Amino acid sequence: MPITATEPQTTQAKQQRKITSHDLYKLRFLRDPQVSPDGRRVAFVLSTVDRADNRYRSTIWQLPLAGGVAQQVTGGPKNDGRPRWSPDGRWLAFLSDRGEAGPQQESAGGGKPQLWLLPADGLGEARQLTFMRLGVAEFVWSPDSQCICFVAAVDEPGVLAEAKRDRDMGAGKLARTGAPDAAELAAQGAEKSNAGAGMTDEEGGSEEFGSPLRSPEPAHESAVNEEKNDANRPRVISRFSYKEDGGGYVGPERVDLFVIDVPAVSDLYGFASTLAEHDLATMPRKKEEKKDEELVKERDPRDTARQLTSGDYNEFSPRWSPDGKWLAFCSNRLPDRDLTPALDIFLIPSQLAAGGAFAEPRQLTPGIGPSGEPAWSPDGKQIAYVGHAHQGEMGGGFDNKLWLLDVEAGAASVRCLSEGFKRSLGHQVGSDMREGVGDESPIWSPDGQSIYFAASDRGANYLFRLDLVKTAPTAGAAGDSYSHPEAGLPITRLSSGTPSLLTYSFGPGQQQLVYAGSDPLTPNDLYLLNADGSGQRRLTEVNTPLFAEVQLSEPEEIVIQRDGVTVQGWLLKPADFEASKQYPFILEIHGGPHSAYGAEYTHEFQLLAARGYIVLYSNPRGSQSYGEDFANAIRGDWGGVDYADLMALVDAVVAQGYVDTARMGVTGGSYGGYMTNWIIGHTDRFKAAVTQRCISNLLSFWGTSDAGIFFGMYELPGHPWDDPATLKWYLDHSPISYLKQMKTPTLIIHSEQDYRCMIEQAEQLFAGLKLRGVETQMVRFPNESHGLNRGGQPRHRIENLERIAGWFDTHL
Amino acid sequence: MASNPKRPFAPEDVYRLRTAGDPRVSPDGKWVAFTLRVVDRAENRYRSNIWAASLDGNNVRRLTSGPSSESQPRWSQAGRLAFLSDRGKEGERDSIAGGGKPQVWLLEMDGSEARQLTYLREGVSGFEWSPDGTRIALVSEVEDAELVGYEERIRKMGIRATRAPGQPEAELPSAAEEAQGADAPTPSEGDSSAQRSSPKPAEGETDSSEYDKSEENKPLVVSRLHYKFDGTGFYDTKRSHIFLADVPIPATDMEDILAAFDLGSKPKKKDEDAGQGAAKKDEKLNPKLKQAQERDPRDTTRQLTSGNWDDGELCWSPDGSLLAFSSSRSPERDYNISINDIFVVETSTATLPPASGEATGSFPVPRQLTRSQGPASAPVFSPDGRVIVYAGHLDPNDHAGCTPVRLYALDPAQEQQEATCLTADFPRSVGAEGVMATNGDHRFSTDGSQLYFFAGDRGNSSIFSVPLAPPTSGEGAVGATSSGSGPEASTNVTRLVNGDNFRMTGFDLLGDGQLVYTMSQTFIPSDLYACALDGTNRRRLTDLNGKLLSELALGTAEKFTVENEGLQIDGWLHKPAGFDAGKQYPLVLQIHGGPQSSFGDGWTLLNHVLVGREYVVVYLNCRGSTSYGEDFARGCLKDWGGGDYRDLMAGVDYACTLPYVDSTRLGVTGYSYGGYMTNWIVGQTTRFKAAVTQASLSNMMSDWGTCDTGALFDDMEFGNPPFDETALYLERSPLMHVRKVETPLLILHGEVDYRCMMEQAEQMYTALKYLRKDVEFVRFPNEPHALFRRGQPRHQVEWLGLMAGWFAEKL
Repeated sequence: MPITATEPQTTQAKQQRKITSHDLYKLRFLRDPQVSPDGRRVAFVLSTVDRADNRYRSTIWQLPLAGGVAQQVTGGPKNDGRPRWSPDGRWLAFLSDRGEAGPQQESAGGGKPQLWLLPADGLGEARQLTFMRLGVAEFVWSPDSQCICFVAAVDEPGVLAEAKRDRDMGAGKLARTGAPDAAELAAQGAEKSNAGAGMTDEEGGSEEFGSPLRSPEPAHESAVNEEKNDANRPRVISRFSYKEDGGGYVGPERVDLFVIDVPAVSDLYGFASTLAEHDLATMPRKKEEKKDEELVKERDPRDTARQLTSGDYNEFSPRWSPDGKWLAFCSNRLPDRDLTPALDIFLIPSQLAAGGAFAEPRQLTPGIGPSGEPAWSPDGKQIAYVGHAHQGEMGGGFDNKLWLLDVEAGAASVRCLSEGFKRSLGHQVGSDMREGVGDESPIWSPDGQSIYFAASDRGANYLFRLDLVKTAPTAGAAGDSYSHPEAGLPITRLSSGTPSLLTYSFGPGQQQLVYAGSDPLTPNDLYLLNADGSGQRRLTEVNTPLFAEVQLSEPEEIVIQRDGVTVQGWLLKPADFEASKQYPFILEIHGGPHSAYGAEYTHEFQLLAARGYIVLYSNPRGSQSYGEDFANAIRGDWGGVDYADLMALVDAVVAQGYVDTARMGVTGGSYGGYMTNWIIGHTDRFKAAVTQRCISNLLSFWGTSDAGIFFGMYELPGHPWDDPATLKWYLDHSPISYLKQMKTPTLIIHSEQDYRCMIEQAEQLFAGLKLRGVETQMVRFPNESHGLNRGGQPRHRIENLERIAGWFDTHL
Repeated sequence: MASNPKRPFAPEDVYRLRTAGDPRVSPDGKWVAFTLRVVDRAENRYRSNIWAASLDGNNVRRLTSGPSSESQPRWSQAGRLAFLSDRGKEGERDSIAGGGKPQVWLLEMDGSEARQLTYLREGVSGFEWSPDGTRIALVSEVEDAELVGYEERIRKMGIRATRAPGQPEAELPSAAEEAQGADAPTPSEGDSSAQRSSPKPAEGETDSSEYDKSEENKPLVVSRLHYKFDGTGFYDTKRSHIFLADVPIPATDMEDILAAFDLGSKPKKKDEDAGQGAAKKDEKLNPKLKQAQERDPRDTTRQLTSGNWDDGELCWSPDGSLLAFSSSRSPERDYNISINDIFVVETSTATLPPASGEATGSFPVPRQLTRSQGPASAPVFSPDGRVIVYAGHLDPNDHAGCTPVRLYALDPAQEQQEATCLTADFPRSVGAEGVMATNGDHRFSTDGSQLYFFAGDRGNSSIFSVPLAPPTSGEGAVGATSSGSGPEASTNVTRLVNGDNFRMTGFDLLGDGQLVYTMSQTFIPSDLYACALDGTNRRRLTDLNGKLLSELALGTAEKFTVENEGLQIDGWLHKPAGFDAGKQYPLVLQIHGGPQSSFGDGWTLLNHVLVGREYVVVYLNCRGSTSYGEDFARGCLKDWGGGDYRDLMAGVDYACTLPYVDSTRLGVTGYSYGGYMTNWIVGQTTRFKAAVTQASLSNMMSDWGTCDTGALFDDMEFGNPPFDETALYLERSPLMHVRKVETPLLILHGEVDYRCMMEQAEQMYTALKYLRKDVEFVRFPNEPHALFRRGQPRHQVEWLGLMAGWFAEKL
């Protein structure tokens, strides 16, 4: 077994080869550790690549914390995730898409992620608890383990009616505006003799969503209804936010809160009840054409969940009050929510009122900025949460802070606990090994005196503890005080940064925690840590079989001082590096712009180093984990100080003498692609460039990206047509405006379903370079979104890596 | 039924419209074969069959039927009718024989059913009979070895690059390994050794194309400026070339017929014995090429041309020894899509590579007759074979269609010659109109002394003749023509049929006496007509839409002219049926696309839908329109949204003076450039109360780099690329004026519109919606720019319904 609790072996032993793009197939991705309530086991998720099917597969494993061999808990060819122990330790609940798919199972959400329950005593296979038509996204156990609150998308009747009205547009009007008999006459005149087949009556006609499009034939054959293929129907759009990168077009579904009772083990595994359920499942389901509205109502007979919220909002992050009576959750319920990204915390009773009416949620936060990840204090009187006070800004430039409110007093009682902590809460450091990290909520100590939270600092993620007991303020290293200057609340860093900490889970009594962590040479593994930060121990080595074979390159930190700030970067050198030789060089630029590179394993970097390049990755101004002044330094100045920081870093590396300056390349994705384009328009020092999922023209980006206007509002100085000065800014800061200066051979890699940076951005750059006679090539990846390099099809990810490396191989 | 009151036109009448095209008179002069296009509603597509009308107007016969689609009826001298049909069997087994793709079929007109003549893998896109009727020349696509190799190199650039010193080849899975992976049993639960034990990727024959078995899932590697085309999609590695096929004499021998049948029913051989000799030699051949070279045993055609270019538009010399064709072979062809040339090639098959097996023969080298000076198309041999006349012009940078297409005479024996212009002082463009269309229909008179051709004039079509003798004035006279002078100003061109109230779509001649043509009129969607060459004895040969039209009351239309800034602007008013001069009607301005195209007295679907909803529709030929001379067509260059906009407003101003127009209820709509203008108008004036912008442009800056032909077309219209002309591109982008928009706007756009990309609609929508303007946006999946030509009928009906419905709600 590769997953062991034994001491790590040294990886020097045998003949080692260089890592290749194809080793991606062999990598294992570990996430989401959860310590059992009795502290004896930790459950976690392990994903691997299913090479033949060109996709990923994830299963749940568990590891005894006392030592021993990891054990695969769930199996099968599908995806199992989000393991969560019930507080009483009797169940391990998880999400799985293993349910049978197919038209018969549609209303039961077959093939979509559903909640499954596995008895923790190991007796019996997992049983399915939910049958939601659109699947389940996120769930939490009630404190008494009697029920589970989950969030799931359902077709929202109001939105559905709006969509229907939109589709009717231009339709139902026919009858109002004369020519009332057109369709009827057409029917009579129809070539096809269908005497007696009258048109639908007015009411029936209006049921068809395209009644003006009524055909001469009976209503069920009308133009629109003839279309059996949803994907071929016109999409009528009247909302502002209509598409999302990775999610496609926004439909009538909205995410709501549900609560479902967890049956007793005897019920779920007993003889009588399971046979009754079998009867339900085999009942013939009506399958004739259903109207959209009916589909909303139609629920599987086995679905016993109670819906707690509704309306044209999306709810998430539900958290039970300690007494189980209340649920706090997050939602954007602004009237203007389509145009204003926002998040507030709301409260509702966890029980439906008599009669089943939806309770009106009470808003707890003051609506001054995004407020998420609520955490109840152990006494249930307070809620800590994460957010900042810049309403509408979701781009990540401002520091997320820790806030506290009194549940009774609500918004009036809100105060910031981490004012002096000049870092943003949450995980800011990225790599190509994962998309997102999962739950990030702060955690209270059982005595209510401390709050644990994760935050990033200088390229690594750490666990911190804030003590609510006031002490005298103390200054931290480099002037970055960890404490609240006035309140004097001390903040202590607990983890070491090696590895960088991702999701974590406390054991009983919060004596210990298990976390998933990564360092530059190790993708995620599990680590055990005492709550005071001592006694770190590595629990797994999921990638050791691969990494024992390959040579990796160890990063070397490089820092420069500019304008009174420190800019940090890292160098990877080829494994057989000799300082007396000269090497080709590649500058890697991260996206965001408010994200960061740092202490995590990144396959692309290691691959390039293995191919013989010196690789520089860094955190120029705009990056996160250095405080919001650093991150916001590029607001309204894209291509300014960020560009200067990068060039200064490159200069510093070149000064070392081992870079062959005639063989330097540059690459980056998203904003990193923007910067790549910017660089080739401003310097010829790079001899090859690879621009990935890039922005070339901010003017059209504004109107085509799913997030374009939000960039316009908060990142860039306004909207392009605001005034001539703003328009000029857009032009002056668009790489395409510097086309005439571009000479660098450039590979353009873009996904065809990238809705963040639409492929039109790549097309414009390609046409421009091509017409200017600059060597270029555009590679378009079908069926991929913005996240190709981290979540794309395995084959595509490998080809992407090969093309990046290959362009440099041929041009440097 | 007769007692039924007539009703207005409705969108779903699209399902019933029938269109005639491609008329061809039989050698005996009795019949006109033509195509008839109808909607196959169940299949949600168009379908066409071959019909024939008798020239006396008494008889119309359907010649082909069934669910297949037929086109290009062509008579041999002996009166045999060949045509293209996709009726061949589909399926994997038949893919080598091009099953389901258009092939040449032959109808003997003796009562027997049509027989299939060709079995080309990629089907046939065009063909012509040899003058003696023993052969046909045809155009089909083949994988181009150079292009395949090029694409392969480009593909491999990333993947099989030179390695850093000491680096092994990238380990990509071989096809064999991939296959093994797919067949391998699913690893048992928890057996994570499955991946480790998988065999090491074989080195050698691997590249990215073997990664993925699904073509659609493979990354597309683009290295040429022009890589996509609206309606066609992304360019592939196939090129159109000319093939020759012998035509069997009318089959009388049962053995012949059965022998052909035997061939077809022979079991297809698998790769291993498909040309055993060649197999070994071809080991290194690209699999794509190898596969492409596999041919059906019944395919006996000989390929006549090859190379990394597209050949087409065939014409035989009268003695059958030469084929003239047009092709874009300029080294600049990737950058300039408006340059092509006329070539001739010997048709002797003696040295040609045989139909199958080893490639031992060689292709003859065609002679290039023209000098790559601009578009050159549709070559026609004179009856004595001594002259070729083609249509084209000498402005290689006109990517918009402003320069009049002229007729030029060539000596078939002389390479790269200076062509003689026949219509130098004729101030109109020869042939059909439309952006970048250079395809002129022109025919020699029997004695070869005259050429007959049709051309657009003031929105309508006429037929003209010009003597073959070169004009005295020469090309230099062109500059002297002004937009003010009509066709009659020409010294040597004579107008034969004055079609001042129809628009022609195709024509053919019978000797020097009879003329047949397909056309449309404001109230006739399509019909076939015949007349004498002087325009007399004009008669309608078909009544294709008679039944539908008998149910409809389509209103009335009248032409008017307004003067604006010294220009005469033609306009039309289309009034609803039952028009009551005492009432007031809302008015919708309809704007044509292009901008280099025109309205006229032809069938305009969008107008009928609006008139059917009781709107008066006004439509105009503003500056930029064609058929008014070159200066007028160039009138909008570097001035989109300027003079063209003012011309249109002058027309609307005039309409608003009419007592029956309610000037408080104005609407505006347009398609393509008409959509650009709609977007522009709502940013300039608030006089319109509702607007529908169709397949539109909003941001010329991004259009330049995203439109399939944008880098050339926008350069022409705006004078320069955006990086040299930023101010103009911005100022004339409707997006820059969104703050001023008060008119409720409906945006209709096709999702695979590669001419005006979807991003154009998205930008307009995002800006207006963000500003809380009244705007809606409908995206049509799977639809190109040419929705109304190539789109799904159902989508057309919905599109029209949405357009009309928006006005109904907002106006």
